[in-house]
Amino acid sequence: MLNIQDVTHAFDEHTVLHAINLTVEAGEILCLLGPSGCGKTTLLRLIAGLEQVQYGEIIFDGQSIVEIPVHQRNFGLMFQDFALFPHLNVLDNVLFGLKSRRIPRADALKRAREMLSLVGMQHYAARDVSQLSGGERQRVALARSLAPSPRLLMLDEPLGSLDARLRENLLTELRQIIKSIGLTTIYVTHDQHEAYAVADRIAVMNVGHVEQVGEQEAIYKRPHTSFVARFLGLDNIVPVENMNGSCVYTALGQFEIQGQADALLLHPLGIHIVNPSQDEAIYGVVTERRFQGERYRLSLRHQSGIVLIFYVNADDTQSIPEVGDQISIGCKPEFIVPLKT
Amino acid sequence: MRKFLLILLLSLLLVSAASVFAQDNTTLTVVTHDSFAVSEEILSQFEAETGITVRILRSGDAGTMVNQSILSKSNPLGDVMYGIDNTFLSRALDAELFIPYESPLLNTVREEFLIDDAHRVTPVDFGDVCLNYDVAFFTENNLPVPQTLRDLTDPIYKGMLVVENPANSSPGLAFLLATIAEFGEAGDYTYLDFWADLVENDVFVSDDWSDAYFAQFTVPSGGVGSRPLVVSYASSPPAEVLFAEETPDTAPTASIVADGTCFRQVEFVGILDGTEHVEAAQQFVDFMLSREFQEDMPLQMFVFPVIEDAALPDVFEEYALIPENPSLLTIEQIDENREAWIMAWAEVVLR
Amino acid sequence: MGRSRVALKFNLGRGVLLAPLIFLTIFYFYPLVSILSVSLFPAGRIDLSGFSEIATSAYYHRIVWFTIRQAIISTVLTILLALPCAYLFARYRFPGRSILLALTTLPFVLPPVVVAIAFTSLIGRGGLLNRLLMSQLGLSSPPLQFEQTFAIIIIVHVFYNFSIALRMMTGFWMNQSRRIEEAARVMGAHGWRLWWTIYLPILRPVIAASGILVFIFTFTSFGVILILGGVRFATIEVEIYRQTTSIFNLPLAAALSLLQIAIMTAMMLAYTRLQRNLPLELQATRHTLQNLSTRRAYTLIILLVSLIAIMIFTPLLALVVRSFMSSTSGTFSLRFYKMLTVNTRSSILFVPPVDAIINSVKFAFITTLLASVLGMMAAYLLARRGVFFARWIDPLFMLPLATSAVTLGFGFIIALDEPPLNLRTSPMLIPIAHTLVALPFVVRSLLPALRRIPPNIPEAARMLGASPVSVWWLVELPLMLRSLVVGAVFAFTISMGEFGASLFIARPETPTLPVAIFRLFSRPGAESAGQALALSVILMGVSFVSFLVIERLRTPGTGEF
Repeated sequence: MLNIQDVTHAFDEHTVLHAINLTVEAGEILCLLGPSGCGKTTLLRLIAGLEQVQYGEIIFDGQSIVEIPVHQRNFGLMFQDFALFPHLNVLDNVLFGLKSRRIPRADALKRAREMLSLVGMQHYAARDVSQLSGGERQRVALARSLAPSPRLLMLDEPLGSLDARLRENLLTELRQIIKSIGLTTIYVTHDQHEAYAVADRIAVMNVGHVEQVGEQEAIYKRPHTSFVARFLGLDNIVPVENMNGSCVYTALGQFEIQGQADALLLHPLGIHIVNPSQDEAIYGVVTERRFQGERYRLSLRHQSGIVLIFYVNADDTQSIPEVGDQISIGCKPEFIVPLKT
Repeated sequence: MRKFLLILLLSLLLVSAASVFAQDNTTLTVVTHDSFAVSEEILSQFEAETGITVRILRSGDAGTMVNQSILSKSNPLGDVMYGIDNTFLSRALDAELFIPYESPLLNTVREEFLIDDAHRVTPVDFGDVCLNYDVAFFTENNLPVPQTLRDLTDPIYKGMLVVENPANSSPGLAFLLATIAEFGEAGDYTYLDFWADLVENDVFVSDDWSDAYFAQFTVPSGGVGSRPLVVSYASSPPAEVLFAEETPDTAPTASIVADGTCFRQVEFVGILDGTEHVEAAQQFVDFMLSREFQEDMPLQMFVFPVIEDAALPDVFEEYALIPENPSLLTIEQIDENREAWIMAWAEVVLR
Repeated sequence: MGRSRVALKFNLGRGVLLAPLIFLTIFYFYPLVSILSVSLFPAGRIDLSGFSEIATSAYYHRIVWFTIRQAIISTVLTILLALPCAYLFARYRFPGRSILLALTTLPFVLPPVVVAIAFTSLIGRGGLLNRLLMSQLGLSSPPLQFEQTFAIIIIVHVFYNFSIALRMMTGFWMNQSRRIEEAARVMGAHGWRLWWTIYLPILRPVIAASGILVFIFTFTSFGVILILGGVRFATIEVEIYRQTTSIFNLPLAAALSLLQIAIMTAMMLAYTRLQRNLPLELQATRHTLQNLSTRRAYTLIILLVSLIAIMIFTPLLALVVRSFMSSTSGTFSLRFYKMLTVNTRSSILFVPPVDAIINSVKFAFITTLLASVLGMMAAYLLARRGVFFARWIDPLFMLPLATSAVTLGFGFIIALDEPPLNLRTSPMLIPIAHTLVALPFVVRSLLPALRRIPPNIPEAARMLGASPVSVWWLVELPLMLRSLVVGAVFAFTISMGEFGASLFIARPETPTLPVAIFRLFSRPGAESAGQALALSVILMGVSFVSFLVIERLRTPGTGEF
C-alpha cells in the first residue's frame, strides 16, 4: 500500500533520516516506535507532505505522492496536541475536512454526526472546543481525522498529552475504532506498551534509521540490535570478545550461536536459577531483589561486573534468593540472542 | 423600444458633447499667495468674455508659493503664477519656472518696473513695506512717532514692535532688506547689531504678516493684540478706514514713510512652464494689466497699480502715503545674499 | 531509484510575501537614497556643506538643542505625572476605573492638529478660559499668554504622551509580584522610602521603555510645534519643513533628515530591546486590586479623576464648544459647519472644506486596505521561522517609524516627481505615504497574533484537504481577525490624522483634513478659524469612533504597542 524507499532527510546540515525503507500493508496498523528525536515524526510529516521530500521516493497505491500537495493527498493526521480549531465548535471541526472536499452539506452533516457517535461525542456537537477535557479533545480530533475517509490515517503520539489512566482506557478503544473501519494506519509513539496494544506490526527507529520491523512478540523476543533490546528494557547485554565459528567468547564464558554477533542478549525470559555444578552455569551475587506482585525481579552481579536481570515467579516452589546470596543461573539457548551494535 | 433607447442614448451623447463645447472649457489655475483678492464681477466679466474658467490656488505666502512651485516644477500646480515679488524673483527665474510673454500692454506700464528684459515675468503692482503705528496709542501716551529705523531700538518703544519672519514672509524679508540697505553689512553698526538691539527691545516675530497684523498689532485685532507698531504696508491705513465698521474721521493707523524706513516690493505675474493653456494664460496676463484690474487692485489687495493712467480710489488718495525714497537693492544683490542674510538674521533673532 | 529533490522550486506563494519588501524599497528606501544624494551629492560631487553647516552654525545647534531639551522635559514631566497615577490604577479598585483607564488612551489617537487647536480653544488668546477670565475679572486683555511659549508646547506634549506612559506603567506594575513590597513593609519601609527603594527599582525597565517612547514621539513633534510654537520654536522636524518650503536649502534639509533618522534609529533599537523584556499586559489580574479603604486613598482617587478629566477633557470640550459658538455674539450657532460645503474663490482652500473630509476618508480607506494587505504579508514573512533573514527584515519594517513623517514627505517630493516614478500628481501618493507610517503598527499588531497560532493548526487544516488559500481564509484569518481589525483601525486613524507628510505632498486639489485645518487655522479671521474648529471636531469624532473600536477589540497582549 505505502512504500517508503530510500528516504533521506536533513534539516540544515543535520541528517535526521538515513535511507529509510518501509512498507505499510493495506488495512494494517504500523507503529513507529522510538525515542524522541529518532526521526519518526519527521517521517510522518514527509508521508503527510508537510515536509518536502529531499531524497528518495514515497509510493502510495503504486503512485509516487511526493509531488502531490498536502491537501490533495487525502491522508488523515492526528496531532499530539490534537490541533483542534479554536474558533470552531466541535461539529464544525469535524465538518471542516468534509467541506474542504466539497461534500454536499446534508451528507457532510450526516457523516460528521456518525463520526461523533463513533467516538461517543454525539452530544457535544455544539460545544466550544475550549470547554472540552483532554480525552474529549482526543475523541473529537480522531473523529475529525476519520470524517473525510482518509486513505491513510496517521497518529502522532495521540495519547501523549493525556494522563496514564485515561491512556489505558483510550488505547483499546482507539484500536477498536480504527479496526472497525479497516483503515491503513501509521501510529507514532515512544511508549512500547502503547505500541504492543495498538499495533499489528512495529517499526523501531533510532537516530534516523529503522532498526527492526516485525510483530510485537518477535521484536521483544528476538531484538536485532543492542539499541532495540535496550529500548525495550532488555539490558542483559554482554559484549562479544572473540568469535570462533559458532562459538563466541564473552566475559561470562562461551556460548553457541547462529551467525554473527557484536554482543549477546541473555533474555530475562530464558534465565533461571540452576544448580552450581551445571556446565554453563553463571555465578554471581544477588544485588537487588524487588517484589513486583506476581513475580520477583532479581539482579545478579557477575564477577566481571556485568549485571543480569531475571525474574522468578512469586509462587515458585523453591525459595527466592536473598540479597547477598551467591547463586548460579543459566540461560536457555533459544534465549541467547545475537545482537548487532 | 430598442429604437427609442438608441435615440435616447444618442441624444444623451449629443447633449454631453454639446455641453463640453458650450463650456469651451479652458480652466486656468492661478497659483498665488494667500493674500490674493479680486472683485468677483471683474473676474466673472473676464471669464464671460474669454470663456476661460479661472480657479484661484492659494499656496501660502510668496516664499512658500515660489518654493512649492520649484519643488513641483515637473508637475506644475497651475498655469499662471501671480504674486512673486522682487525679493523672491531671482530664485524663480533661476529655476526657470516661467516661459516668456511680452504683453502688448507693457507700453502702459511705468518704466521703472520693467526689470526683466526677457519678459519672463510681467509687473502687476507695487507696494511699500513700511512701519505702521497705532495713532491713538501714540497720542494717548504722548509718544513721539519713530522717524528712523534706529529709533526703534530706543527703550521707550520696548515691547511695541511686531515684525514678520523674513524666512517665510515677504514683508518680513522686505523689512530685513530695508534694514540692510540702511545699516549695511559692515562697519560699526551693521544691520545685525540693529537687530540684536531690537531683540533687546523685545521685538515680536510672527510667522507671517496675517498673524503680525491681525493678531499682534493693537488696532485691527479688537484689543487682542498688544503691540502698537507693526511692519506692514503703506496701504494699510486706507484699508483700516475702509474696513472700519463706521467710517472714522481720521485713519486709526498711519505709516511711517521717512527715507530709509520703507522697502518697495513689486509683484509680478508669470506663465508657468508646462502649462497646456498658454493662450489663456497670456489672456490672463493681459487682463492683469487692464485698467479694470489695475484699478480694482488697490481696494482688494491694497497695492498700487503699475500702469500710468490708473486712477487711485479716494481712500488711497486721502490716507495712503507713498515714500519718496524707498530703500532699493537690486534683484541680483538680493539673490546673491538672501539666504545668508536670512540665516544671519535668524541666528541673531530667533533664540 | 532515489533521486534528489533538493533543487528548490520557485514558490509563488512565498514570492507574493516579498511584496511589502518591494513596497518598502520603492517608497521608503528609494526616497531615502534620493535624500542622501541631494544631501551629499548636490551637484554630482560629494559635498558635506549641509553637515558642516549644522555642525558649525549656532542656529542649528540651537534647534538641535531645543529639540532635545523639549523632548527631555516633556518626557520627564510625563513620567512624573504618570507614575503616581499608575500607582493608583495598579493598586486600587474604584468605580469607573476601567472606563477611565480606557479613556486615557483617547489622546493617543487624536491628530496633533486637532490637539493643538483644542488647546488654543481653551487657553489661547481668544480661548474659552481667557474669555471667561476677562468677563469675570473685567480685564481688557487676555490674562493667559500661552501662545508661542515653551510652556504650551510642553503642556500639549504631556497631554499627548501621558496616556501611553500611564498604560505601560499600569500594565507592568500589575504584573509585578507584590511580595517584595510586602517584605519591605514588614521591615518597616514606608512612604518615600518605599518609593525609592522598592517601587522605582522595580519599575525601572518600564520607566525606561515608556520614557524612550515618549522621547521618540516628542523628539519628532511636528504639528504641535508648527501650530503652537510660532517662529521661535523649531524641532529638527519643523526645521526640515522650513528649510524645504521656506528657505529652500534642500541639502541642509536632507542633512537634518539624516541626522534625525540616525538619532531615531538608535532610539528605536533601544526601545525594541527594552520592550522585548516587558510583559505588557493591559488588563488587570483582578485579585491584586484593593478596595478603597482609607480617606487618603479616596482623596487620591478623586484628585486623579479630576486631573485626568481636566487634562484630557477640557481642551477637547473647549474645542467642541468653540466650534458651535458664534464668533461675534458668543451664542450657539451652526454657521461654521454650514460654511464647510461652500467654496468661494476667496477661500484659502482650493476646494470646499467638506472635500477635505471626503478626501481624508478616501485616503484612509485606501491606506487601511494597503496597510492591512501589506502588513499581513509582512507578518507572514516575519513569522516564518527558518527564513534566515527574518531577524534582519523585522527592524526594516520599523524603520518608517524612526523616520519622521516630514522626512518621508520630503523624500517623496524629491524622489517621486520625475521618471522613472512620476507620481507627484497621482492621488495615490498620499495613501502610499500614510501606509508607510501605518505599516509598523499593523505589523506589530498582527505579528504576535500570527505567532500565537500553533503551526499544527494550519497543518491540520491542510491535512483535512484545505488548499493554502482556504487554510488562510478559514483558519488563520479568523484566528487573527481581532488583531487585524485593531491594526486596520490604527491604520485608518493614522491616515485620518497624518499631518507632516501630507503637508508636503497633498496637492491643493486634494487636501486632507489635517492639512485643510492647518491652512484654515493659519489664515486670520473668525470665518476660517471657525471652519478649522468645525473640521477639527469632525476629525476628533472620527478618531473617537476608531478609538472605541480599538478599545473594544483590544485583548490583553494582542499588540506589541
